[in-house]
Amino acid sequence: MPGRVKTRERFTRRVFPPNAASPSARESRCALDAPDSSQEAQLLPLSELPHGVHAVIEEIHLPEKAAEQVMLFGFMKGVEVVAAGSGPGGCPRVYRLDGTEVAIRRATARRILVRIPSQEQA
Amino acid sequence: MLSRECCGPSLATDVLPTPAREDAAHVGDAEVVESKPVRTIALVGPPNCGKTTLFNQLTGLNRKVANFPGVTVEHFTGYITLQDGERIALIDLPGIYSLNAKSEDERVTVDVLRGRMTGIESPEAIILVLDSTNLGRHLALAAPVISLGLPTLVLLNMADSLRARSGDIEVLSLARQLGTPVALVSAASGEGLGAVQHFITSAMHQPQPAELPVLHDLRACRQWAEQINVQSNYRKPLPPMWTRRLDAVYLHRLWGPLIFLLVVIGIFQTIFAAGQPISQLLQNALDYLGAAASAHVHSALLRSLLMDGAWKGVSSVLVFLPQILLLFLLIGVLEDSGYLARAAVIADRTMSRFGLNGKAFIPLLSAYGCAVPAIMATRTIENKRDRLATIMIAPFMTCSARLPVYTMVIAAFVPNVHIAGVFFGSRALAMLGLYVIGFLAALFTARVLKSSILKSKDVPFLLELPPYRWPTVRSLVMRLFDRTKAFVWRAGTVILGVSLLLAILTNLPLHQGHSPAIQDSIAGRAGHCLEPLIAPLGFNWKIGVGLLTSIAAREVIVGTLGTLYGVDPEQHAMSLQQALHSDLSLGGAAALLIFFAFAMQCTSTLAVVRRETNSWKWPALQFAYMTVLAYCGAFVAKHLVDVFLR
Repeated sequence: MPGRVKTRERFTRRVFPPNAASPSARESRCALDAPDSSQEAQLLPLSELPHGVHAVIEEIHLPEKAAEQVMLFGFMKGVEVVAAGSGPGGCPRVYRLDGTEVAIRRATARRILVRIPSQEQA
Repeated sequence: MLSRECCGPSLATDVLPTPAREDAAHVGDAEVVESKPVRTIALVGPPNCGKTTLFNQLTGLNRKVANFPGVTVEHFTGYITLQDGERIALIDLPGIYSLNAKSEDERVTVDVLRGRMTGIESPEAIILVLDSTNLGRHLALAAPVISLGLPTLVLLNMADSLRARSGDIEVLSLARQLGTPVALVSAASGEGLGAVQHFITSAMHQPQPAELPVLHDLRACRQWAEQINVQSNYRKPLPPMWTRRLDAVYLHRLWGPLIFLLVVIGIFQTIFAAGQPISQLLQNALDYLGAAASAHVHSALLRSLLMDGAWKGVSSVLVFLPQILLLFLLIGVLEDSGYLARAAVIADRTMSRFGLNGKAFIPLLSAYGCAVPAIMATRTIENKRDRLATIMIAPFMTCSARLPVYTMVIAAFVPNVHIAGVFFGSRALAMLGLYVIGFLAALFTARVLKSSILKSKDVPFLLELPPYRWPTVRSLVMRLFDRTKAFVWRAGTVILGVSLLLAILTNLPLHQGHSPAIQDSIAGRAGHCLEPLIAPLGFNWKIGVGLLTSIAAREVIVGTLGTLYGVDPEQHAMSLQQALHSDLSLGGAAALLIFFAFAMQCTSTLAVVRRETNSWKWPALQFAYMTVLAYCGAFVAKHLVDVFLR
């Protein structure tokens, strides 16, 4: 639970990609399939998407129940998202997708991998 | 009523809660009620798509609406009477994202739809309400709903917003795809609601969709919805620009929390700066009325009973009505504008630190008005243990019933000094401090519960942020009306009863036809019995009697003290504040405030906790815990003030 971890610690934990390291024993329970290295170059966790930048959701690495829940709010493969704001200090994050805004905690957002289309074209 | 206009004079309305249904049928329009059973239609749709607004339009009722997901958390039945006299039962239901219920409110909807809700007939038809500005996602719900096989009418709500933002859809084409009638409507303005009547009066058919996806596959449902949107030439509306602009500020890392703080402080200052003078005016008016009335009462004993006792008790509570209404008005503006959901985002981080879900913030904020609807609103929290923890801490939030008690004590003890110019006064600051203390006690309790008996795994926090909207006058007026009704009702029943009883008890037993000295009366002696228990907190017997009566509801203490001081010849001429000042030390006043901040003195809250948790265990635990905390807190506060402020 990110709320339990001290803020400063959380900032230093900003590893990229975050799933290479397991940030805490608790989060590592979320059984990650580490994406293969060829994809890693292009994919970035949703939580790291800079403000105002568009991206497309590629992979969701969450336990089944949690994955189903984020899907109900529109987080699905192929859906375009924009980072639209955040709570104090960056958590929870607010994303715009399907014409609505949805708030989601950073710990959940880092399990969703996105691709920035313009980067790929470049 | 707009619905009557658009649906023709044939659509009459009816205002009956479910239990009264049968009796009223006999009393009301006897020739209408044959043996024909009432047809039942359910209103289904995603959260915050306008189901309750539609329900209100069709039935003429005034159920609460607001601009955030999860306002409706229980089923509610209203009636439409058609021209031929047929009565249709319309059930308003909580919003759902799918038929796989995750939270308690969603379960209500699914149970009603599947005919598993006791006391509710299985619906004969469904009105599926979807937000036309967000069909990309909302249409996915049509698949499971249509597959239930019941005759269905699909209403695409918020047609006005869709058009204003240059969106469009071919309704006929959509109807062909779904195999159901479809209509573009605006529930708020009543536009297009003739379709509902047409649907009800026409022969209802089972839906015949062109194609349905595999239902348990969310992705398939979604793709199906997208395909249908394409075939119906759905043009997505332009993004709501004002919402984006406002969110750029309100959800800014730095400005967001700052504005949040300003909003909270602004609310307090308004309640004090604007509410106090209005309360004063009301006080003068009530005093004048009391004086005028007492001139007509000639018996001294009767005057003492009615005017000094009952009237002083009731009027000392009634004067707080303006401030309470102001509070509800401001909470209403926050809820209806859509800011509440943003506030929940800003608060989530703090909440998560104490093991709570950000969603818990919405019920907790409404607990500032009243804990009863707040405890109902916790139904939207998916995790059972998170929900229980939120129920347990909700009564710590400073509800409007504490406002009269706080205002009374603060006005008596805190001098009115401006701190930051005219913007913030010492009294508002003291009040804010009490709100903060209540909130901290709630967080502390949550932490204790979440790390012991209510430990649970994390559930992802997801919250949809609705577009900002102008609060409607109708919705705000309805809230204030409901609140006024409840407040005046309580003043006229519980508080009047307690005041009258106290006035009698302070005049008994009679000694040779005369009333006894107040401390020798029955009320006085009962209060004195309590004294050993409350003396450590710096309270005298009058406060003791107040504490005893306030178990019914918090503000009853104000009425009780009003009566006791009114009856007491020594304090009769003083204002309530002066009398209180002569009765309590500064330490005692601090203890009284802290006691009220923590104690669970509300039978309605205990009853609703019992109902929502389905056992006496939780309300009993809550009552015991809060009472002990209140006593200890008050004791500490008294001694700290005695040591440091003397």
